[in-house]
Amino acid sequence: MAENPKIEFFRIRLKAKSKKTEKTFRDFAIDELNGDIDITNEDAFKLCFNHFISRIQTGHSKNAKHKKTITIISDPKTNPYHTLQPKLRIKENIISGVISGGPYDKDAIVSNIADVADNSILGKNKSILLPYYIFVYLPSDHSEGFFAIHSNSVEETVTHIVKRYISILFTGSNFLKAELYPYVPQSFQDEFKDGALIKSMTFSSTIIDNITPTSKPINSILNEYDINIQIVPKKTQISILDSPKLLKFINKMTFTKNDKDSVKLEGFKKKKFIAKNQITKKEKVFEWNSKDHSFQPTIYLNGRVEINDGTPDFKELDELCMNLFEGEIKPELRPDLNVSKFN
Amino acid sequence: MSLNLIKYTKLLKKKAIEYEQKDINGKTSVNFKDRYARKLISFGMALTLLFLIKTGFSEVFISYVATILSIFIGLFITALIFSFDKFYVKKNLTKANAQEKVVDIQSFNFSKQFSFVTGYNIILSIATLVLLSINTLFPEISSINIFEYYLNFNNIKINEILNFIQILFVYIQRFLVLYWLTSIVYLTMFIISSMVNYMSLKMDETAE
Repeated sequence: MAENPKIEFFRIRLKAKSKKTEKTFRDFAIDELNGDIDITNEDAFKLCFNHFISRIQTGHSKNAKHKKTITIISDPKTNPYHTLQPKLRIKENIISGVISGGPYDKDAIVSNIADVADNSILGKNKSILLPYYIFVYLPSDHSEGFFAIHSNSVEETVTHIVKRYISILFTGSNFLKAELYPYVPQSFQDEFKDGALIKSMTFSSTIIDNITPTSKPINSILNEYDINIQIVPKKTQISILDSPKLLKFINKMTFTKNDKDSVKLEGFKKKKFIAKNQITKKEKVFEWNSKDHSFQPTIYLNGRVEINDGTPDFKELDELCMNLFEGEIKPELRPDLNVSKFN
Repeated sequence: MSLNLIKYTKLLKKKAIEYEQKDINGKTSVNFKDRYARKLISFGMALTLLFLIKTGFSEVFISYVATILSIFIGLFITALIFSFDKFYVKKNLTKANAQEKVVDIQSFNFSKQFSFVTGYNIILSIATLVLLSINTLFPEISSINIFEYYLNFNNIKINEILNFIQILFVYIQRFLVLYWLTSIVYLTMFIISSMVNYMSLKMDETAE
């Protein structure tokens, strides 16, 4: 497993087909899950929870494109985290716990490390499952929910599968696919910014070069490739607060694909920079969020929760998420918590 | 009775000043300029005018201000009575969504802000009228010009002391009239602009 697990946050926005009204998760329970018109907020949440859990509790939710699956394994013999499987907190409208997920349809071999002769084929219909912590907030009285999921590395992740799962889950005859936006609580964005300097900036993209035949044979060999461009300030010290200005300047630079075509760095899919705080001497990765048009920090779990062999302590992680949610995320998410009655 | 009058007036003043510094979301402005704008403007204006009007308020001015204030008092009392059940009606929010809860709190806050600020404005208008009536009762004393007097500490008798108290009282009266008049104008503009904005907000909600 990777040594540095991280947690990612997303906002879930329900999208009603009728643009006139904003529909809540309670409305979803009434319209799509056969909830009674006078259903209470608690019962509406229970319906949403059952809807959320049913598909992964009774089988696998697969994604053929990514060839990954998510499920819940309740067998205590095989799943060491079976006691931590998703549970609901009715009053708070929260579902949190550990699900299992991983790749399938691989030509994998299961081999005994102690005996190389002891091996067998995994089978394409079998999946290698790892534990992933999820935290989902489905407020009955609001149209915008939230979910957090941990991942271990670029490969060891089911984030995109869960995103897709949730997006489709809240679709129906009166609802379009729910929209999911990456999100980072403001305090995470602010805590590092004072006195931080940009160490390097990286632009990554996959280039598919459908070029016409040419006299240069190398062009036809290398027509699909990943490109990483790293910009490192050498003598000048650039404050993290100047990152938007710097990005505006770098965005205009171009990468020349071949004799004729060039790609602006603005079009690169991934943009991130590493910043170093001059006071704490700590480094942090900030990724570009195209929705908010700002760089947002990647939140690594190291230092925030106990990590054993690359797997975070899920109980501590649950506590961290709950505290973060109650203290920071909920007030940022819900408009009614930002207003207070005159006394 | 008199005790209750003082208690209620003090409470009205306290709440009006408190709500004046808040928006309808219940947030108090942290900006010094925003919080003390009325007091600063009124103080500056009153102090400047105090030295410009050397012989006090003219009869025309008193009559003009008294007419306007009387209209204001009548208008604001009517607005207070009619707005009582217009801006806020208590709703059952057990099944309300977040947006409905926001609107309910905003309506409640605006209703309170409107009531207290308007009420305070009426009290200020009445107090200004009372102070201006001194001018009509004692026109000679009220037209004292401080620049015709000078300070002499060598020969102070009871007459000089009474004279000093008289001048002091006249200038305090003039300052308060000017300070409150500026405050009344400021608060009237605040009430009207906030009311129109709130109505526009409500219209947008019903139009959705």
